[in-house]
Amino acid sequence: MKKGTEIKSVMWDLRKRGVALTFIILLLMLKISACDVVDKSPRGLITDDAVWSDQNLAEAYIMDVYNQSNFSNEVGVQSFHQLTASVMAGEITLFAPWQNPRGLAERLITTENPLPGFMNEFRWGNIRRANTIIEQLAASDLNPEFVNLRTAEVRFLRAYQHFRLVKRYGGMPILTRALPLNAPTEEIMVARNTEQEVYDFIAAEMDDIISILPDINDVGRVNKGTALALKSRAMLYAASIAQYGDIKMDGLLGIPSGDAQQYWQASYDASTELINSGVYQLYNENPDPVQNFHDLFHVPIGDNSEVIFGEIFDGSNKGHRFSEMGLPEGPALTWNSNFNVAYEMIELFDFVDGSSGIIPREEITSREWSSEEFFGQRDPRFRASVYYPEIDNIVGETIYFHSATLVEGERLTGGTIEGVWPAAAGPRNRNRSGAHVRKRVDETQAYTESTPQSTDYFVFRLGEIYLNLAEAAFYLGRTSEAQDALNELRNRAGMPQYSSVDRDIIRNERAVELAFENHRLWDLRRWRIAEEVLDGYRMQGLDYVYNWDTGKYQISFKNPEGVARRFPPEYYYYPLGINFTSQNPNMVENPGYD
Amino acid sequence: MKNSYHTILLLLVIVLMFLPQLTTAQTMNHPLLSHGLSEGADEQLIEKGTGLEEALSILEKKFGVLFLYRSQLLEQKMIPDVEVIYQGRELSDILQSLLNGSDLTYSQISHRTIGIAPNDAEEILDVYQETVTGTVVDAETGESLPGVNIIVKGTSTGTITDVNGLYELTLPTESDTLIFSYIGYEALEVPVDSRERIDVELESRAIMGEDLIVVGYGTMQREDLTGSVSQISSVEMTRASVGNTAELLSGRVPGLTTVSRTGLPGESGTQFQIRGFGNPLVLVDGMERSLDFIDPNDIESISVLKDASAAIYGARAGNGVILVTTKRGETGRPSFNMRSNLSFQQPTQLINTVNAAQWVEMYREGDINSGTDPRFSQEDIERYRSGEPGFESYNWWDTTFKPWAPMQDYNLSVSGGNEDYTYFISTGHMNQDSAFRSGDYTFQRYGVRASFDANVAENMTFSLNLSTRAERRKRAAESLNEVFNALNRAQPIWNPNIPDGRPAYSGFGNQSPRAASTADYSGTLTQDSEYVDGILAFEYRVPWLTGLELEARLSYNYTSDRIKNHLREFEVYSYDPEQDEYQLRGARGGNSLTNTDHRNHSLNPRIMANYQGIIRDHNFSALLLAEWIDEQNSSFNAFRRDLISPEIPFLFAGGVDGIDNMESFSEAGRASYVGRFQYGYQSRYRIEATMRADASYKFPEDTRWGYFPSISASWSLNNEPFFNIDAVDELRFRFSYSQSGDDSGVAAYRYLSGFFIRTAQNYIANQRVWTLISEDVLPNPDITWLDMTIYNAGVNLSLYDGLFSTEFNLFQRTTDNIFGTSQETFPSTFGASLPQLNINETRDRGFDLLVGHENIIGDFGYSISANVTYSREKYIRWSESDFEDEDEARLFQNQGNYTNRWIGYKSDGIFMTQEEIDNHDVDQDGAGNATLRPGDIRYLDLNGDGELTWRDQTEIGRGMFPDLSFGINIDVNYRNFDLSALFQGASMFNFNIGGRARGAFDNDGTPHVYQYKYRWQPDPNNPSVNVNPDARLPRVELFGVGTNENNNRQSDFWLVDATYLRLKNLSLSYTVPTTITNPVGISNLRLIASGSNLLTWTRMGVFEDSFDPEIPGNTNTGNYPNVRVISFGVNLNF
Repeated sequence: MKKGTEIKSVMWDLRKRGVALTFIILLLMLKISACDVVDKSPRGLITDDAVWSDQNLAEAYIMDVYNQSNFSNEVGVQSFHQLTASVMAGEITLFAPWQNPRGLAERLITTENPLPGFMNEFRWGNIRRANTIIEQLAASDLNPEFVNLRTAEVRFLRAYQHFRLVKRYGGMPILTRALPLNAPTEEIMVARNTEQEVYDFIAAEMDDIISILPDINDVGRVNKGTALALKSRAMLYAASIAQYGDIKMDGLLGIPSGDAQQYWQASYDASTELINSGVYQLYNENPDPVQNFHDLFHVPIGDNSEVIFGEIFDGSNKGHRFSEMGLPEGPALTWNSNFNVAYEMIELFDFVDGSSGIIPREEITSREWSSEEFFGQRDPRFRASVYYPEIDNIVGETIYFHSATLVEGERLTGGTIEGVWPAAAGPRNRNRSGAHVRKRVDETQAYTESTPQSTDYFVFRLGEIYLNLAEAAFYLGRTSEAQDALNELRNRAGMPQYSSVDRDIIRNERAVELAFENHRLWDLRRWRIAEEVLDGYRMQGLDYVYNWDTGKYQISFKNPEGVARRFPPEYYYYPLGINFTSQNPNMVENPGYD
Repeated sequence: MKNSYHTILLLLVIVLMFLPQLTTAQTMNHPLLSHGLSEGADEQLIEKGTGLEEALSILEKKFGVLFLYRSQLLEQKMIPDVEVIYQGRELSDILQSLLNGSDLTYSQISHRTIGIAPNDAEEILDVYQETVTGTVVDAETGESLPGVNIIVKGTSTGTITDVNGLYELTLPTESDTLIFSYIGYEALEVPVDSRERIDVELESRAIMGEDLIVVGYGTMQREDLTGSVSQISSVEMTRASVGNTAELLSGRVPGLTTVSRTGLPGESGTQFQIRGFGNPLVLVDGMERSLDFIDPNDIESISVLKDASAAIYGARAGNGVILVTTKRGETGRPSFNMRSNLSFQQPTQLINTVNAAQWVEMYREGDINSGTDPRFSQEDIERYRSGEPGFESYNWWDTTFKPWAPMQDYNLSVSGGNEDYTYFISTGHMNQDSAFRSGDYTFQRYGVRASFDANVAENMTFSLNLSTRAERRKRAAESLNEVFNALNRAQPIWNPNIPDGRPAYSGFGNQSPRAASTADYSGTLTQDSEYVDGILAFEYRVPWLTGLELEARLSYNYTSDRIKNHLREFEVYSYDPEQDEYQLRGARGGNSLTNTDHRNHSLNPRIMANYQGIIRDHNFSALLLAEWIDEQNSSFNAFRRDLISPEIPFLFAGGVDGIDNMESFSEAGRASYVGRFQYGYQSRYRIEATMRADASYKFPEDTRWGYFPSISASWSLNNEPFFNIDAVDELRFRFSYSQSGDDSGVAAYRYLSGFFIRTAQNYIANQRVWTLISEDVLPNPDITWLDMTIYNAGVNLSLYDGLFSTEFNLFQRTTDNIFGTSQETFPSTFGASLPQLNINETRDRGFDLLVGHENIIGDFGYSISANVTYSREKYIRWSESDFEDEDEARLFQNQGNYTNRWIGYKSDGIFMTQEEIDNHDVDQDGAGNATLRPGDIRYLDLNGDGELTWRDQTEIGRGMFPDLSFGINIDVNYRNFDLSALFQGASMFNFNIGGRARGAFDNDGTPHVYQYKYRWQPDPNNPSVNVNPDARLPRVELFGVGTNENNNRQSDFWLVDATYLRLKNLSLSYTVPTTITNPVGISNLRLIASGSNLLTWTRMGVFEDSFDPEIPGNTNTGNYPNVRVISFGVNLNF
């Protein structure tokens, strides 16, 4: 009987425990499920309202428009796309045939295979961003002074983006509204404006904002000088297109030649105003013209009197790989020798005595040359812009480019001669053209991939404005003003003064002063001489055999590229691409790309 | 709205729990006894002289009641007064008459039951209910079976056995029959025959393989399945000794296609697709977990749910579901199992590059063919051929990889328990080395898993799972991509082993693949991961409703990942033996440290009510469930550079410049309600319906909830009475329809608009580094998940007691609401990232087939099974530009076409001579073939217009994931030997020969051997004439074929059929006879030898010796190869 009770009480306990446990579980479940697990919100999402009512946030978005403008894109900050425009202009070629810019120069550009993303400048998102800011700032309660100034800056960035489009494709749609999703189809399906309308739009925008922007050298930001500089350049382009181009597609392409003078004048006015403002001076700090011209590209924006506007790289927060890739083999530690200068480019640099840089090619191969006489006596800007044989003190080393050394007639390619002279230069220095781009390459150290480099990228510098002025003045018949402007630059460069100027002198000076700075491609196109210069162009490089006994080089020519390039006349307006035109029936392809 | 669901469900559970008290209380005073029969009131009902028992039985029929009595009470009793009883009278009146004068009385027990008892009985119920007790055990093992369903035939009265297999049941009458049923066992009918104790043995129902199938939220008999589910068991899993669970699924499951992309230790290289769909949902014991690194020894079974069977998982189930169930304890004294494996891994396929002489020969040819001046002379080639000092040939691949890399895998588990509790504890360790000679790229895993089940209260069990796993990966800091890039570029003319052991220059830039793959040089990347999973569950068998179970369950996961990436700087040298000089060629790496911490917490509560009942020939089950998932992810990283010394890889040793750190945090949440109803009749017809309501945090309130119904049915023809073909064991037809979803590819909160902070981008102005914000994509306020509608029709056939069996399924899946942007309406000039709209639609169709044969002849047993899966997807509705041109539509339009078409030109070999070019009547280059040269590819002018234009393109192949895959399993056993082989293969997919594989020297690569052997080779003296009789590939150019527009066209020249068949696994095991092992206390000892990826057959022609068919596209950057594994193992039970 006793045992039975015991069993019963155990059962009762278990039963009680079951009830208790059930309640605990239910309570627990209720607690967990009561909080609404699906009602989450993203952390880090900033609301629209916050942005347009907080000046700091609005500014952070405006700075993103600067950032997304990626000014240095055409010279590239992405390692293997660097100096694309220079490759396309035939100034240089790159180390490896598979590098995208080379493909772009050596293949045909067609509607199926148009300019790739790193070159096409279809920054529609950034234009929309700019339009959004302009619209939202106007509607906001933010400080009117802030609104006014920042709106002007953003209008510049928007105009600059239109300029990048018009110089590639001719007339493109002028986009001044951030359309909502429910906008009518006819507004969404934008049509192309004429080329003239786009240039006029840029000029009108600059005229509007010039009075708003401060006339100071505001580091890394758009200011009055920047707006004038864009006007100076854009009007120069418009003028030369009017002068040399043809009207096509009912004016979508081309500018009436009768309007040329007006654009030369507009460019001339902008350049003059900018130079006369006195905010900027040609950089001239070092008495050695070679060192001075070299330093010009390494003195950072802010300390550099010549820079009007540019993109700042500090190496730690923002950097690139230009120097690492550009240094010649020798001091370089990683990828190097990437930018190989065409001999045709070297020829454009005259000698310091004023004689022509072009030496008959038979003469070149028929005798021996010392580095000093062939290279060392050229324009100081050459020596500051190009690495050539025996150039000294590059990261503390002498740079060689020769493929062999003759010692008493014996051809040596390995080892060192008398412990001082390498029989042959490193293979990467011999690989292509026998000369590399020096301009903008930082020689303070040999970089590796993990140390980003900090040479700033200049969008506008005063040197260009002098050249713009010279060119515009020349077409306006003010030849002496043109001559004076060029001589300012010649003087700074340590070259003899011009006593007279003509069109070709102006063009040559521009090619030399602005070499590898993302000008030549666009200049060749707007002067409509790219066909002449680039079609059928097979870039030449130099091969050097050093004669130990004479201390001179035997120079021969070689082909650093495998093909002759093409520049058919339709390239003056690049194709929009079938993928782009097929999105919108109003977006017609440029002629010649069927 | 969501809250009301919770409340309703909770109330339901509470009501169910308290219901019994209410129902048992209302038994008396039913108006039954006052019933009379109105019809034929004056007819005679019971004749004179009828026995009392017979009279009662007449009344039972007439009045639809049940009498309870002890037979012996009524024996010999006659109705006292031989009075005629007429129908018109009330039942109570009749009974009164019948019992008048006897010592018996009556009383109503329940609404249809009337008890008859002696007058002096205290409590009428005590008397009339017989109590039967007994135990239920497994007929084979004698183990007691808890939870067996016992039902009184023809009633709903019943009970289930307790944990000890004991049951106690009160019976309405002693003449009843009991039905014992239990999942996995044959049901048994036992007449009571007045017995008070009935012990029963149930026969296991395993006819072939595992018959108990794990399905969503439960298990099911294989023959009860209405959907398409495949399961593989632990036995199959552990037969092959591979440490990676994912790998083990390959080729074994019809409908499941796997592709192994890499054999890198610790890398999840296996890509799964169920029927060619996207990534399936993988649940381990109900929790979302990756399959990759679970110790295979801990797995009890893996189920693959392919159709409506997966729909119970709703919004995430559209691509199918893989359910992994881990092992649990078994009653009995502690039983130990120990497995130990030693394996050796070898890359299946390393790239075969040319030797130095061939390299120089090709380089010279490349220069000449490319129009650049040759850098090597004919004499150079001769020197390398002779291999004279200074001109040796070196193989960088061989010096970077070793032929075999070891891997060890150990597991020890113990299982046991008694009637009150069972436990299973397993601990495992794996150590995998890579094939890199450097000894880096290793993987280690430590794991402990424990499960515990106990009876904690009456009818209540408690179970606990706890598992923790730690993984450690150690690699060199240089990315593998870079290592392989360097290997692909390494030139055979450079010596990889320079005398003093410094990093050797490989001929390009600053590259040294051996040093890059060595942590001592390039730095160390370590990743420490920890996984902690816990599941706590209470299960309550509701006593007053047999078959009803309530479960409350809470799972919790925690994952932590700590990555330490420490870069070192190292210099690369070449060595000149003549001058004994080292030359500095460059430097790589850096001096920095990045620490990253990821954490993930997830809490997953669930409550569930499950009912199973059998009434005569009908069986039912119903399930109601609610679950929630609440998840938090956070990560944190910190960066320092310029460490004071590379020997102090800690943040505190870093410099002040460039300090960087970042935090991120995100949450996820889901709520789900599930209902399932199953009904079966006589094991002939079965139907199952499920409904799931799912809410995902990713979507706005209005579109957050989705409802996913499914219905499936099956018909077992072989169980029909009219079916009498003896040979057929099973012939069953199945059909299912379901709707499910997929939200995995959808970013969360796409319905909100706003801005986010740009990370890793800055703008510098005014001496300030600006933090930037940028707009999010335009929102879509109606965003919701992808919707899938799946139909499946299947048949199962089994003949001659399993001698032959087959299963065939046909399926179609329509995926609607696929994300797309409205291409027709917004050109890119619009400028905004367009909102993702649910606008596109695709459809997959295919079949899977399983055929099996098994037989035993004396000591010799074998089984063969083969499976095939085919599936292909089509665009049904696709937002794209209108194609007006017929050819554009044919080539580029998606809508109406298969999703994996490969468009390109048809090739016709290469031009061997200039003459062939001159005679070619198709203008292939748009310049009258003036730019073509011998060794260029010839194309077909399909439209016959004399010119080769884009219009001549056509469909030339399929995608890179196979449309057709198959597996063949062969198991043979003879006495103590077991041999199993698994062949796996795939077809209907293509391998695109691109980049370096396409063109020698592409991206400065070192040519492959086949590029040397089959190239169009110019005569050195006459460079326009080919001298290679085997020439099948274009001539060598120094930029590969990259800028050669003619040869680089997308064409079938470069697209190869990647069909392959692979001996995926072969294993042989031997069980040591128990006569030897038993005396030393070992119950089972098995020795296993196995190999994987042993043989491969492909159809890749000239490329077949160079690429692994499972790694398509791996031609340019390079991946760690797949591995062949040979392993030896011991499996011990004691």
